[in-house]
Amino acid sequence: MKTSKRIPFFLIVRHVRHSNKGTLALIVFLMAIAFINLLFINSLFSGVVESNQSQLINTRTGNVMITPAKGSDFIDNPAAVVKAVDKVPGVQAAAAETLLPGSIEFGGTRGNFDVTAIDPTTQEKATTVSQKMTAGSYLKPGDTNGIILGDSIAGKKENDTDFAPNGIKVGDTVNVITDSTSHPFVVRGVFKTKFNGTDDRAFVTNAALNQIAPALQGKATDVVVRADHRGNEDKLVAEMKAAGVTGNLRTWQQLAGSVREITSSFVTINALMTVVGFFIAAVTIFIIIYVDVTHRRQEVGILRAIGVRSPLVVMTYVLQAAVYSFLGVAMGTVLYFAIIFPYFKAFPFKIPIGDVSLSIIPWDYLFRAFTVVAVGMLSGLIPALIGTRRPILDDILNR
Amino acid sequence: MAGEILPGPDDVILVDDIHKTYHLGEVSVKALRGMSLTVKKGDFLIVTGRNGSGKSTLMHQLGLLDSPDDGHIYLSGKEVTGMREKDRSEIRLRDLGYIFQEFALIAELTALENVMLPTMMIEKTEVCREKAREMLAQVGLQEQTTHLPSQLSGGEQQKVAIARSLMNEPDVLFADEPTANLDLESAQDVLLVFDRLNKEEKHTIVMVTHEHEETIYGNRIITLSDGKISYEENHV
Repeated sequence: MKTSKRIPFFLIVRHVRHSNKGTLALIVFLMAIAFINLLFINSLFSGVVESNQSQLINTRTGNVMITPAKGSDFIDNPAAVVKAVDKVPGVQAAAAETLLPGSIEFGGTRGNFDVTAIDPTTQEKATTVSQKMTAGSYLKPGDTNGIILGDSIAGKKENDTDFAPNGIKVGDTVNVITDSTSHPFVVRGVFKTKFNGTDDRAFVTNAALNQIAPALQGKATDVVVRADHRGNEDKLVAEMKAAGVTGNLRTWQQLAGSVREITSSFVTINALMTVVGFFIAAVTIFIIIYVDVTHRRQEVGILRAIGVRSPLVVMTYVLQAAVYSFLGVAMGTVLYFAIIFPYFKAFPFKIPIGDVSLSIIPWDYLFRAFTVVAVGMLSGLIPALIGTRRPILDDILNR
Repeated sequence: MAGEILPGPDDVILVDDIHKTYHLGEVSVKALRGMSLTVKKGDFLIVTGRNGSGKSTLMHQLGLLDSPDDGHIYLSGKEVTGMREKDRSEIRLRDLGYIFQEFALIAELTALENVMLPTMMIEKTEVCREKAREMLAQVGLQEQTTHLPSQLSGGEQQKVAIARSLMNEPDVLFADEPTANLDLESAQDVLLVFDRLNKEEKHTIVMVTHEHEETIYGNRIITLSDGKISYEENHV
């Protein structure tokens, strides 16, 4: 390094070492708050999107859903399909579902809700519905007259004209009506996933299906496939096809429907809030650094008066601003990942569409960290440039 | 150019008919009105005069902290008027030392670090450190090298500033009322340092003061009035 280039680093180290620790801590803390604000807004919206997508995957479609091939109404021999899918690397579980045509009747009123026959054992591995029971218990294999209901069916309603306005309790009997025939089922449990597409469903066992609709025995309307992890769905579809799995194989993204719209809306809101957040953070950081450098203009004058060239003086304050910003990002990172993130993981926001904890994509974190440092450096550059263009005496004499 | 005065071989400073006017809103103040003077190598020139006579303005022009509106200034044979800021900065660094009335030390640097700072533009850190220690010892501050300015008395701070100004072995030292903020004892101390630097180390010094008793240290005294030299006296 050229001899003179060491001066900015020399000054920065001494500045950090000897400057007022309270002031330094306050500046770094304010920078950290600006950074956390940027992270938090993004994480919250990412959390909403993440929560919504997870609910879709965990409780409805799985990572991949197999539906009948074009021209067919059912998947024949679903057990064989599940077995074949289970062997594909990356598949965690698969479960066949059979949608019953019909409706549910309770207390003299009828509601059009999906009643789906499942194998509780495989379904428990492929979806998380069994973990979302708010009353009673999950279905047991072989239960021929038990049913579990989603909260949208069993929960209390605001309007008397709604289906089962006072709610349905565990132990109540509901009638499943198929082909104009009423089949009584005892409510074993109620689940609440907070995902509309799941909470308006009801489940019975395949054993019950065999009794009320024997024609559908050995047929499925879909197979839900859960992957080890999210993100490799296209590869999984290709591998399942290569393994001889037939039918219409679609990823959760292709099935997203309303979730895609919600996601898209939140992504748009997130982008807008991020822009606003960046602007606020930029202004905050600019003011902090600008005030600090302006406050030290006498020092700028002294450096120039003793012969330190202006570009080196500018570099000193730009690097100093970078140090502040870097320390702010470091402190913000520690506060965020040691306190805020775990807190909201343990106590997520309870909102109607689900429990939302914070979620941050590494790239978003890096981008925000880089932006804070860049804005900080720019904020140091401007007053330093102004300072070095003023007459030296004006700086030294603070006039 | 016809009529232009050029510096002689012994002239460290040549000032030729410089003018400086400050504009304060609609009011114009003529601080220097055709000032000319020569400072020879080894001189200890005292510049004195009443407040507003132009003493500090003259020092600011000579120290390249400001530029005259008209006229010429030569430092060590080089004309510095009209120079680019980059070159003026180089001259401030290598050819002249400037001591301010307010000490102008960097609060976050120790005495040693303040002194070594200008030389860091030229030399390696270790060389600067050693040289800075020598300079601080020369002004009697060998025990205070690690003190921050806030931990030093006014006189000690001014001595640090003197040590800093000597680091790059300048051709001339400018001191703008260096004792104005000091008590009598500290002022005496600082003046003795200047006296020794001039008599023993043969440094050329230009010092502004409005204390009459301090003029005894100079071999030449000029008194300014209304931006011009009104009186000049040589001491043997």
